[in-house]
Amino acid sequence: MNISWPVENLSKKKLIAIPLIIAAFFGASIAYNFYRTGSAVPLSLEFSGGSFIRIQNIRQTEMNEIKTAFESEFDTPAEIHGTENGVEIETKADLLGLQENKSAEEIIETILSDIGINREVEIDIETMGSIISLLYKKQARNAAIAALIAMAVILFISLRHFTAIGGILSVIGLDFLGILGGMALLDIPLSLASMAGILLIFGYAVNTNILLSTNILRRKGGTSRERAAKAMNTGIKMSSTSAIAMIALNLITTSPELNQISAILVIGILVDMANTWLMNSGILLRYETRRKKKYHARI
Amino acid sequence: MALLVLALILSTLFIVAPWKEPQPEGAPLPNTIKGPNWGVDITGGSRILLRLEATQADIEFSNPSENSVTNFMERFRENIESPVSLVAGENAGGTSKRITVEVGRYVSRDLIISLLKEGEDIIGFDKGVVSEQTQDLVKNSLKTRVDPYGTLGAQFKPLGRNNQFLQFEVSLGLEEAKKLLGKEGLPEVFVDNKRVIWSEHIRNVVRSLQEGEWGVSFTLTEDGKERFADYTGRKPNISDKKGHPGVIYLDRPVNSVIIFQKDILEFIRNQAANIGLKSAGYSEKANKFVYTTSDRPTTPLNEEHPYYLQVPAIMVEDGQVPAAEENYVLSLIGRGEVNQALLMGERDSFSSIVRKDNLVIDNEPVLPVENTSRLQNESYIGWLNRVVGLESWPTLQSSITGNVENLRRGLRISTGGKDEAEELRIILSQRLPVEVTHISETHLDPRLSTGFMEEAAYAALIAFIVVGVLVYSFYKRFKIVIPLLITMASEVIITLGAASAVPGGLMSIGLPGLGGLIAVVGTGVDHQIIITDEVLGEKFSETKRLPIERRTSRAFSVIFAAAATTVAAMVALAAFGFGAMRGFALVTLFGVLISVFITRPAYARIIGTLLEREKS
Repeated sequence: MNISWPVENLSKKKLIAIPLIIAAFFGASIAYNFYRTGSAVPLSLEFSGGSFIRIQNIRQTEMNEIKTAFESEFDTPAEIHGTENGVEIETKADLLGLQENKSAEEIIETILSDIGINREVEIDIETMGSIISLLYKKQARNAAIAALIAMAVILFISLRHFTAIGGILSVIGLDFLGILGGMALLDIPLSLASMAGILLIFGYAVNTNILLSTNILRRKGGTSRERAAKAMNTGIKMSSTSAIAMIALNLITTSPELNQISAILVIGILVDMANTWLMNSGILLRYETRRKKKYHARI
Repeated sequence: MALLVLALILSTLFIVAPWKEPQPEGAPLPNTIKGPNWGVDITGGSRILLRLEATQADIEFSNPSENSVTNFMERFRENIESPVSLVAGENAGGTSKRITVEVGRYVSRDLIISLLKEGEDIIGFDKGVVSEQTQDLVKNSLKTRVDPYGTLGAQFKPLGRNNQFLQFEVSLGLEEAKKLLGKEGLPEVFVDNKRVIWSEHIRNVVRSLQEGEWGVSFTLTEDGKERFADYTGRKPNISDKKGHPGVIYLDRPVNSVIIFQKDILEFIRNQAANIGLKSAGYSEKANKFVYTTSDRPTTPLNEEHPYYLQVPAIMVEDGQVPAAEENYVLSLIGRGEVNQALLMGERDSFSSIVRKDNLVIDNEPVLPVENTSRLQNESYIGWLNRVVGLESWPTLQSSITGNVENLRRGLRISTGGKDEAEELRIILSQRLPVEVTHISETHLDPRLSTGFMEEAAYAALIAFIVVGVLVYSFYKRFKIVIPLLITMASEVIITLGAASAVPGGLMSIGLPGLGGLIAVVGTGVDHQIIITDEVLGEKFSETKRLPIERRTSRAFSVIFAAAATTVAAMVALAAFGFGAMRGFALVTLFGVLISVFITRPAYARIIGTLLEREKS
């Protein structure tokens, strides 16, 4: 099977166009999600603020009553899931902020006894005040920007080739769009863990694209397409091994954070494959051909 | 190559860390592997975000006299019921002087204005700004309160601008963590087993350097002075206590009795030297633990000074309380001296005497019990000290024992080192300089740890096998697959080892850290493939001519550029990110640096040699 078929045969315009179309599709799903929920991608507790409550010793039959009780008490929608022994409730209410004379547990106990649940229950509460979710958001944004700037600087120093750098940055941009789109479609929340995954993909994109650019621009043997094909060969091998390892991790682990990171890595790798080997190849090949024309023309 | 082997050996050493304490129940890995400092999100614990509430104001004095600022500060301190401190001051041209004051709670601008006098103007007002010194002070105070020996992995991370927020993480349950944070801190000083002074007698604590030794000086109230002089030698039947330790407790659990399992006594005895004691043990007659301080240079006669830990304690052997001890407990209860028991030991060992969280004697519940668990990385003697609230036992100087006159100038406790002096100062002056509110509390579930590591190991194994199969399908040569897998494995071990070598106080390996580990291995495989392809690639006549070394160095130019970018991103992340991100960034950083400089070159060399042999 010839993996590098697209690079060898498709016209440069098609190479650039296909990923853009895919990106448009992702963009649309993000926009749709935004329209539906008010934010581009689902947000985890850390970024949206709210409380996460685990109550043990609750029967499944009581779930709906509890949900209604919470929603009416705090005047904000609540989500409830059943667990082995009890329930988990997610609500936007900031229980910590509401504590005045009663502790958060007491507030919940009152809610439960109001609907007739008087037995002993075990309550675990996590609250993320709206103040710090704002803080986290800000810091996440700052960190991401700083990392991007740092990466761009290094790229500039090591490559010194505007088209190549432009290509890499566009790929990173499209990768980001693709990942967000994937998160919107598959309901993967944006959390600190998923942010880490996104940054990893950026580093990954740099890997694959430097491989591609070095091969097309700096090496000498064969036509530029052949060189691109060689790079793509190596690249696809890389991507598939990483992707498979991540899939294995995702299937086996039950920890939500690791699930998020591995899912994002898989999405990112796949999206990156399309963006790098199709779009960036197209861009660089076009550049190469033009350069040669100019060179030959001068002679 | 040699470097690789050396790194492997060192890392395995750090991961297994045989020199560390055995871990308590519930630790993620079996007890043979003690090295890594697991973050709170893996071991379970609590994360609380604190907000420091302070207000800063800039005041300008138009024609200040010598005492203007001092008068101003005194006036403020008397009228505002919170601590007020001077943050900055400068002469602002001409005869005016500007200062910045910080009030330890939120106050309104009007309140400040109402306290100003003629010639004083408010020129700046910032609600919510906290000075760095204050934030540091709060951080250190709380840390000493919660984790004096640094064994609970308590971490305080500043968050956000204006030094307002502190994120606090510790491997304790949420209730316990909140309790520890919230406590006022009651210091008590015992001399020769007698409670001499406590918080209400202590004033004006400062750090001081005298004759080359750091220490803490403080003044006592009149009452305090009399008591101190009396009990350190002035009273007729009390000998001069110079050279004795002044034993300082912070939040000693009064009204509690300790019930401990006999096995831990051996550990405690052996660890006495670790904390500077001559010996540690237990007195069955007195039903108390006994510490003996070691000889100090300031003790002229090389005397030994034993003292009891001022919380009654009962030893349990083979799960049973001896009859005599039972009577002791009952008498303590009868006299109203205790109303709870603190258990020290494995939970199961108490099963025959504890029922439904109550101590049972003659089949009757007599005392509610609380289980105190020894925490990860905590020594047994550290555990004991934490349970009884024992802070330190500095030696009393002869100049202050038994004499009220000398106390007029205040007491001084010499600690020797500057850091110890600072810690002692914090303990004795327990009031925090600002109001602290909890903004968020997160319980980090310890059940993540049970089976988590098994899962992770299992996943890693599967990933390995899958990658191995895939790589074989690419190259169809075992000579390539095997070194590749070995390199991958080494990278994991070395990165984990390096991360474990970092002391727990600086960095802990949490879930993001594990994510970083994954990242390293993921990119590692990629780079290995790049190297392999470059070395093997003989498609173009040009490459065929190149010797193996040239090929590998071409591969490396690609790898270096990519790695440099990752390094830059990680550094930026570690600098600008906060807690969670930092752990991830650091682990990834270690991994990338290690792999680029050690493992990948090693792999390249191995492949190069194997292929050269093939050719010839």
